[in-house]
Amino acid sequence: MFLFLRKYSFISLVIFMTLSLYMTFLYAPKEKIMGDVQRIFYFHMGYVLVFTLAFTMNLIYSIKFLRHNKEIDSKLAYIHAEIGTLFTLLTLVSGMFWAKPVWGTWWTSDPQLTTTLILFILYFSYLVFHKLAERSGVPRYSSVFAIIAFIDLPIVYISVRIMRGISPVVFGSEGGGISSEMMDTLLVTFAAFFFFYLYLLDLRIKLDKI
Amino acid sequence: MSTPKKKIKIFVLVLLLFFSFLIYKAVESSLVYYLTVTEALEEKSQSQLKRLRVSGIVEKGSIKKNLDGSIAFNITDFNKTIHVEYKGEIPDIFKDEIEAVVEGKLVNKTFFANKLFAKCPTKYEDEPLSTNKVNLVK
Repeated sequence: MFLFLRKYSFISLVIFMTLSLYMTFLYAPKEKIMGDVQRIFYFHMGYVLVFTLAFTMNLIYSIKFLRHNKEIDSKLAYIHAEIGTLFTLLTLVSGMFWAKPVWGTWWTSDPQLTTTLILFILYFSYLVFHKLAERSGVPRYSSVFAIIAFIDLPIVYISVRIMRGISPVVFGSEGGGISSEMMDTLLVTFAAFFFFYLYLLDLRIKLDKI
Repeated sequence: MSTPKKKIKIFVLVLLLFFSFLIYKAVESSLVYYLTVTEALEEKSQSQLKRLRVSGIVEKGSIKKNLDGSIAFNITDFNKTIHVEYKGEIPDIFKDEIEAVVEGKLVNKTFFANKLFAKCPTKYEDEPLSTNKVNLVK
């Protein structure tokens, strides 16, 4: 869908990532209560953006494959899931480094943390299952698996709002929001990670010679 | 010839069951990630035995540090208050008037915690320092 942007992804990645690093460490203000460790927030959210995009694209290509049965859709679905799984793991790890000093623990069974871990396990299984299904001559089975796995993605977002947990709701009507300089930094980081995602996609597609 | 297809069908079924079970377990235990102070005190018959997670605001000026490294403080939901005793690692942002989550047992209105978490703020604010651009302008 964004594939036409791939051509410019590397140069955009370099520009935005440099800017994002500068803003994360030097432009963004130190947070009042959590201090410098709060700077993990920007990259943490960047990872979340990438896996949300990647898993959504995985869903779209899985449905496309079920409808038109073209091999390329199945391959693209797999590639998106690969990137998404990697960034889900990065989200979990960066979250843990943030949680240790602030909450006082690496891990706790908070609803959002639990559902995100399940998301990682689901898509990791999908990667294994996709190869297995392909080899057994029934690649459509893995598309069905992908559609079911996707159910967990909105749950990750909703869980923090409807269930009690330790993970904060920062945005939306319940959240307290962030200061304007933090918002600038976040938006630039989002742009940087969007192009990072496109660049990885570009490399991965070339690797598979699609 | 349909053996690989059958195998994969069974595999899908097993995976689906496994994940439904995981999600069910996660939702079941996480629906009550913590109790409020009032709820914890109401649930008397159970709370004496069960490990609980209780969340509340740390009462201003109630944190007392003992010589053996343990701390005592009160958490409140502005309706009822529980006295908490805790020994262990203290989160960096733990102080008066933040929201804390304690894990442990409630015995006779005293909460013996073996885990203490601090909830991070839902509003991220700038630190009021002279190094801060906003303040430099002022």
